Amino acid sequence: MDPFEVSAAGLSAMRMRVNVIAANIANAETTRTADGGPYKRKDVVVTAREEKASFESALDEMSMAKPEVAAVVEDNTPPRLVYQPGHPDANPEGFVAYPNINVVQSMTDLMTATRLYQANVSAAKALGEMAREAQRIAGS
Amino acid sequence: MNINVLKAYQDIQKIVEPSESQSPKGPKSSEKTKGFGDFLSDAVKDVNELQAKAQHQAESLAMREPGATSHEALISLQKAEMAFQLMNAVRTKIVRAYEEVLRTQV
Amino acid sequence: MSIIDKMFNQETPGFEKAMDLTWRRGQAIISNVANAETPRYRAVDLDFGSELKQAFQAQESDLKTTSENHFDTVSNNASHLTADLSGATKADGNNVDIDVQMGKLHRNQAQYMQAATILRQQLRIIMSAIRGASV
Repeated sequence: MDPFEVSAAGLSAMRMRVNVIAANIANAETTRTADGGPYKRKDVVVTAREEKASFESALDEMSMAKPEVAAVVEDNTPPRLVYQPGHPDANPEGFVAYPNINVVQSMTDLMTATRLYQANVSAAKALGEMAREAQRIAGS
Repeated sequence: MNINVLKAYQDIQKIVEPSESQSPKGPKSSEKTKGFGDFLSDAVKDVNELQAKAQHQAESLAMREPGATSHEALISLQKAEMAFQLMNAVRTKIVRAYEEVLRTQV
Repeated sequence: MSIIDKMFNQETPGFEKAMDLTWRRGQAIISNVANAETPRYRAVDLDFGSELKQAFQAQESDLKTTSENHFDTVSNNASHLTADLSGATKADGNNVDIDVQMGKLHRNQAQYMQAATILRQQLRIIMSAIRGASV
């Protein structure tokens, strides 16, 4: 398995996760979306795509795992209802539906996701440096 | 690290200029060229093998075959180049030896 | 075995093997880092076994061997993938500890670069000797 591909796949998946969490935070107070109803928290489902049908062992399978975003799913837990009768998006009972987003949790998740993304950047860079060092062997 | 520059140099010298002690008997000129000939044909074979190996590995790398690493191909390429240079050195010595022999026969 | 092979086998096999093994270990670590958030992913590592030691032993011995049979094959312990248990398992089954992996990554990279540098120097010295002898 080409380590450059694996690294790139990791960067791609992690960047998407960062974007999705950032969008959640940005929309924490969005009570009305284009579809009507409050913004729904989104999450990224990552799976490992294996290229070979069968592996000699679980270890081989792991070492060739290429991460990819299988889906971006919506969180369908019921929205938070807040009593605000004067609000334009209030329902007949006077309640406004707010997105089911815990901002503090999302901020923490964002920090973790960003850190992991940066780690992948660092790893990709290290790989490039190694390849360049090998190139210096030829042609003296 | 166990690089011995002097030893490497001496090894190369031995290859390129086999000493008289390796052919003690018989007419000096023909014995010398016979020794050279053997070394040259060996060197040519080496070069062919190494270049073929380097070529094969470079192709595997270009086609992104699993298990092909970049340093493997690069090292083989470098060795093939060095083998070629060595063969060249041997060839040059042989040519000079012949020239010397031709001169002395006048 | 050719003249050229004999010449190279006195100097380079150990460092070539070092580059091979550290590169393959790097692949395992890269996989761990890329899959740091993949559910059910289990971290892996590469155990060099005695492959590296044997390569250096072959280099330094005075035996001019023509096959590997001359060396001790009883304790032949080839390099192999192992489970990396350095990290705790999270709720989704993933056990990658990113800090541990990054530490391994940088140390492994340093080893690779070092082997590459030494190998490059060795080849250059031999090349100089060849060029010097053809004068």
